[in-house]
Amino acid sequence: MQVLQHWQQSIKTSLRAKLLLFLSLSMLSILLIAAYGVFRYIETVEQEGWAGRQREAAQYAVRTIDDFLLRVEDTLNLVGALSVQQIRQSPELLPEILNRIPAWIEIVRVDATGRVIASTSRDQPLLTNPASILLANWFQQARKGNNYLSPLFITTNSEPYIILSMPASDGGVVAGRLRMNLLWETVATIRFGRTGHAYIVDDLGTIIAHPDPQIVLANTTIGERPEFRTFPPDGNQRFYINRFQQETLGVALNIPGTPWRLLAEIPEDEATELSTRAGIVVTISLFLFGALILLSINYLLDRFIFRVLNELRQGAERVGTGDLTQPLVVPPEHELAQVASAFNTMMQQLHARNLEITRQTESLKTEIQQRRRIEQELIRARDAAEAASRAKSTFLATMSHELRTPLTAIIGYSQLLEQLIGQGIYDTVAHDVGRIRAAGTHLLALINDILDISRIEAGRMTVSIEYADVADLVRSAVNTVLPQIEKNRNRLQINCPPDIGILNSDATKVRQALINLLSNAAKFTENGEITLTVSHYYENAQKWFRFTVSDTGIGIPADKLDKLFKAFSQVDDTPTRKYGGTGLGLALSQRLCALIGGRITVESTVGFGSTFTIEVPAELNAISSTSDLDAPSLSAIPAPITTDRTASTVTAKNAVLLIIDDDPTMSDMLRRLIPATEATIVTAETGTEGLQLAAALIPEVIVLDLKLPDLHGLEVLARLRENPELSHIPIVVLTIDDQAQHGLTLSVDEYLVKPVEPNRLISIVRRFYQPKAEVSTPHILLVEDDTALAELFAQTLRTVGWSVEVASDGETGLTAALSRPPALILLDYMLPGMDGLQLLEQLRSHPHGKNIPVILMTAHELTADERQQLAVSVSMIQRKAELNLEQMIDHLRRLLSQNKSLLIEQ
Amino acid sequence: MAKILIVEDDANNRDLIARLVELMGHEPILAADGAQGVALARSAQPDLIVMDMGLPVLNGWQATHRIKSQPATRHIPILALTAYALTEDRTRSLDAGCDDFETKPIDFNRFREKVEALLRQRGKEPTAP
Repeated sequence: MQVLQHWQQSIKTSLRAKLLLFLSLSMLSILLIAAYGVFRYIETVEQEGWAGRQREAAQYAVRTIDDFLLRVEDTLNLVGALSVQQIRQSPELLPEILNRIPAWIEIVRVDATGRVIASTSRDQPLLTNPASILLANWFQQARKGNNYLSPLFITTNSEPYIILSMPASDGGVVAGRLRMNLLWETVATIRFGRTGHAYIVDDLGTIIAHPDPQIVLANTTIGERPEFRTFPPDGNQRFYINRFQQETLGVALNIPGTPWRLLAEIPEDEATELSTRAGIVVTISLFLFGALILLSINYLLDRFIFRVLNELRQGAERVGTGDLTQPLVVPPEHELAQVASAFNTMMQQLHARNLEITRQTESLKTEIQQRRRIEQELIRARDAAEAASRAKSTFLATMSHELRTPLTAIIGYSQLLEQLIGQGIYDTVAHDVGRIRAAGTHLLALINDILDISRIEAGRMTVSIEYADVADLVRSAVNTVLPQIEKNRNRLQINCPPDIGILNSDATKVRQALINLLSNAAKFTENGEITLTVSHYYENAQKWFRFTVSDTGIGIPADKLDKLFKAFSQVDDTPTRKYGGTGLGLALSQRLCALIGGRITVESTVGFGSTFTIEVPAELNAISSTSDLDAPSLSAIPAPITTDRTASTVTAKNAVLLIIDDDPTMSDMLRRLIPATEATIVTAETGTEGLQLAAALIPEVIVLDLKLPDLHGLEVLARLRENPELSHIPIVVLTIDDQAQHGLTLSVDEYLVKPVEPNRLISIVRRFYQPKAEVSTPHILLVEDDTALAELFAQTLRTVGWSVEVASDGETGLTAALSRPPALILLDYMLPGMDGLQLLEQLRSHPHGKNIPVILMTAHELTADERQQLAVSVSMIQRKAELNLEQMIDHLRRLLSQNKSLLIEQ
Repeated sequence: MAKILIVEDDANNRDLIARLVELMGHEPILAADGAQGVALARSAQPDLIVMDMGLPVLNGWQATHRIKSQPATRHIPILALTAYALTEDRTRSLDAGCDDFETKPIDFNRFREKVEALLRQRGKEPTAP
């Protein structure tokens, strides 16, 4: 069946198949017709051959029998011609005849009355019975004057015979019994082919002679059969079905002088044997021949047409895959050669075009790359420009503020004095006037510094080169700063060789920078030591001077060092700014140094002091101009971060993080790591202060250290929770003692054991103040196998307005959590099947389940190790025994009011 | 005589405003940073708050927001002092909940008028913001 379908498919798709099919069908028809024709022809010839043979045989037989009959009739005639007397006179005549002609069994001469005149017989005489003679047909017929031939008699006391009779001379009859054996022998000898034979039938159709005597003895008759009735005995071959149901070819001939017929028959099978065989052979050979022709045609088609077509097809396929380099090979005499050559030309053109396209693509690519590079540079330039713009805006804003402050004092105090003097109150005149003067001075310093920096920025700051003695320069600078140094009861140590050298550069700038450094050292050091060391060294064959100013002052924290040289960035962050200054000194100094080809560097340790170093070339090359400066200009630095007042960029609703801890490390660290725009950090160093601030500010998060100088952390915690206004605030507790967590469970949202990893604390804290997403009805999943307890929980939670789903075993719980992620999961530790821990594990390994906060409820105490392990994946562990539903609800509320995308840190 | 809370970090300015307030016949209460300002607002319950915007710990806007968010202090009028004269600062102050604002350097007369106006308002029923 499949083969058939396959063929069907082939035929549908293949021209060749169609062709071959057509050819084979045509040839098949022709061959069949031819074969049939040949077969028929041969058949006819063969049949005619057989017919001829049959006829011949029949005719021969007939002749033989005829002769015989004639002879025996002659003898009868002879006897009949004799008179009665003659016969009586020759009594040996009849026996003599009998002798000579063995076919006669009996001969008898009777007269007209039926009286036997003479007779002779080999066996029992049958014709001589006077009683029967007169009635016998032979007598009656012969008396009428006819020659009579009786039917065949088959008796038991004689061999089969027939009776011949004819009229005798005197009106009597001469008759005789004739043996059939000649007939039979004659008939038996008639053979043609293997099975061809002949037999004789009488006028009734009874077979009287047959090669098989049994048939005769059986009185077989073909009287009703068509071969007897229909077909005349004319010697023509006829086809019929004989009494044995065989298809037969037969020839029938009359035996003259008798009512008998001779039939020569041969089964058609044998008659057509030859033709059939020949037919088969012819058919097979013709088919073979046809197949051969088909194959040859197939081969020829293939070779001359399909191969070429295939070549074309492959060529097209190659083009399809992009291979344009192999031309088609087609013999030039082929009709399709033109097609092939056109195809080849097309390929060449395509190839050429491809190359062209590739080339263009490449150049486009290069161009794109270049553009991209330019784009990136533009972006960078734009970003830099934006940053510069922002820096400038912030600078302007800060500058505006800075300038207004002393102005406010000046104008304010002036107005105040007006009022007071107008009222005659002179108490505060000295004080107020002093303030005015101080503010004025400060304002002047500010303006000077700002102008200087602006001029540098605008590239209009000039550098005047002159020779200056370094030792003198140093002395001059020191003198200027001495009052400030002494004001803070500091000691100054100067290490400067008097012959340190000559500076050929802008000495004024060096002096200004040096004064600034000394002034800073004096400001930030109390009762300390300030050391100025001057030296020189060589770098790249150039002579440099180094001025080092060290102090034992408050020092500068590492994270502020890089902001040091930025405008208005000041180290002190106390509100009253007791250290004074414009905030621009270092920025200016750095630029001044850069203008003359030098640099300022700083090293510092908090609590120990700082060391500032100015390094300048001894000789300033006139070539270096302001445009070559390495000094980061105002435009290049990002917006300065003012540490003394909360940046105005912090929004009103900025989150507030209250830290109640007497150790400033934690606050410092958080301040450093959390940008001001994200949250504002307020510190309280005592519990009382903490409570006050908490009550006042209502912060977004509270970080509470349990170890406090005045109250115990737990008490602070309790009081915080008691206050209804504050009970919703998330509290993160820091403790040095792991055991202390006992009382904490519900009141506390998170607890950490010191020392705390900063990033951990930050991400925990961030959880609580990140912008909130809208939370519709929070959905809680409760996984608890104790149905009564589960019901109780669920009911309680539902009355608060939350939607609760209950799962009574781990599997169900996990499926529920993953298919409908809840805002929170209350998970029982002990569950049938998958227990709480396994559920947690599986939940956390799933992207949807990673962030869902889980409260694990246990009936028994967990070990420290267990708690530690769980700390990563569980929000909180709740002992069932200590469960207080109200507190639980509060806690849940806090948890739920947080951002949905809670991050449980890794 | 009203209690006026002054939240200002610059010592000079604080002194100035305090004396001005005294001249006006009111009682000044002083705070030097935003947190302190909020705390004192709650505890002292002043009749008016004069709030500088540039403050340490919490800035003026944050402090104003907190004060105006809490029922205990919501009703207290706040006069913002800002060194920034840009329009957006004005909008920002009002958005944060300030009832009025004044730029520095302070003009005494203008200041006095604004304070009296706010105190008079306060004399009426406290309105919800």
